[in-house]
Amino acid sequence: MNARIVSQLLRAPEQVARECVEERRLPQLALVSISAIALGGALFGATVGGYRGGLQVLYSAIKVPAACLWTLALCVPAYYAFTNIFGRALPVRVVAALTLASIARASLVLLAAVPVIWLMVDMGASYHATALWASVAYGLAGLSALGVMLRALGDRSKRFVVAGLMVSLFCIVGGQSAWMMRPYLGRPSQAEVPFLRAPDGVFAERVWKSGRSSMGWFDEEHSR
Amino acid sequence: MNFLTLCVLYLLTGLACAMAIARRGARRGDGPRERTSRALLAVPLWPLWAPIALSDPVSDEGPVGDGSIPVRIEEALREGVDVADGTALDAMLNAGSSARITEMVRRADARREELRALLSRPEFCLEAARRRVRDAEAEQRPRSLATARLHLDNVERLHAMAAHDEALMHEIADLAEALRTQLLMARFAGSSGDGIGDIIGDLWSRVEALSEAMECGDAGGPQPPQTDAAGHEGSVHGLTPHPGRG
Repeated sequence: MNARIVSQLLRAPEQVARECVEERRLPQLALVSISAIALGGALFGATVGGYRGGLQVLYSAIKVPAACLWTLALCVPAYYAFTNIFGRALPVRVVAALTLASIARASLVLLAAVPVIWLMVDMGASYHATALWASVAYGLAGLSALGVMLRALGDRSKRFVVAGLMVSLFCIVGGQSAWMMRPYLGRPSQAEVPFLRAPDGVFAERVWKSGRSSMGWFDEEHSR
Repeated sequence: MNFLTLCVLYLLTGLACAMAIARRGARRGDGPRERTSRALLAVPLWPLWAPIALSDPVSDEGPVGDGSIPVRIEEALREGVDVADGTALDAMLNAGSSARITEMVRRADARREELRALLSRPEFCLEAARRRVRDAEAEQRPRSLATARLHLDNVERLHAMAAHDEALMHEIADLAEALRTQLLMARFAGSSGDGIGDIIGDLWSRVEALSEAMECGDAGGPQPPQTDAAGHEGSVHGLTPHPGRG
């Protein structure tokens, strides 16, 4: 992995964004970004899977980067449309490189969060606490990814609209992809570790139901 | 269409992209290992990787158009010479002067590439050199600090040199293109050639600056001003600024 590009991803997002827009070293940047996503996601997944231990470590190490790259592959065509309709006219290769660079930055932040999550798991944090802190790490990583993307979208007033659309789409597609590939944490009480759980509805529907349940509103079929 | 069918279609598209990338790699002269790995990456990740891998090979080498600066200059000068040929403008730009500029630009481009390759190495990283100075200052090691400062100074000079060459090359390319446009205007629109002399003067001054930078580099240090056979200062390898400069 090219250390200079990794360093730029972390420390000079503006420069990375500029290089993408100017189409400098796109293949190198894309390859380093894919490697960073694979490595950062795998180590973060392995750490989260360490809560259950055993095969879950391996499964999560495979599933976290896979879910991330799968989400990007699905989102990039739409991102291209968003940027060209609402913001700056950019070729699809630039949008792909920008997306990869943004998520690579996020993966490096996830990598930085690995020791914290590991310590928490090691200190016996509960299932929900581990899940919550993993989500916090994802949130921070997402914010760092925005750092690259927003700079590339230029100074136009519509860049926040484009960024909003991108984030929304990523949350929907990423949420569903991650939902399909769960579990990541795994419960220690489980005798066997499945690679994938049986299909169980749609992510958005689950979020809606969980949101209502948390406010004390239960659907009829649940209250019966 | 069910999920499985979609997956099969996705992978088939990925395979098609992989074949296209492999063929492109073969045309570009990539090694078999690199070609295979780049092609295989496209199978699962074609929406992300294929647009980049299948884009113009120029983008593999650096900034868009950056590697083609000598080509830009050559094309602009060649067209300019063609336009000026057989007209009164021939005195301002001809094949001989164009060839000398082109030769100088090619040499400068080779040096620029060499510098770029050198500065991409970790030991010439500016930030790392600065960090080394900071660390030596923090640890209060006078000897290490002196060495680190010297290293930083040299690295900064090399970076400044590269930036200077880069800027000059861009300026020369812009001026050559402006000269071509002005010559075309003079020929087809019948406008006066007043601006042409100024552009040629500017062009020569940039070429001289580039030559001086290269002379310093070749000799390993600053050189006194060059003198041509007629004893005029500022001429470059026998190139005399065109009288149109004024």
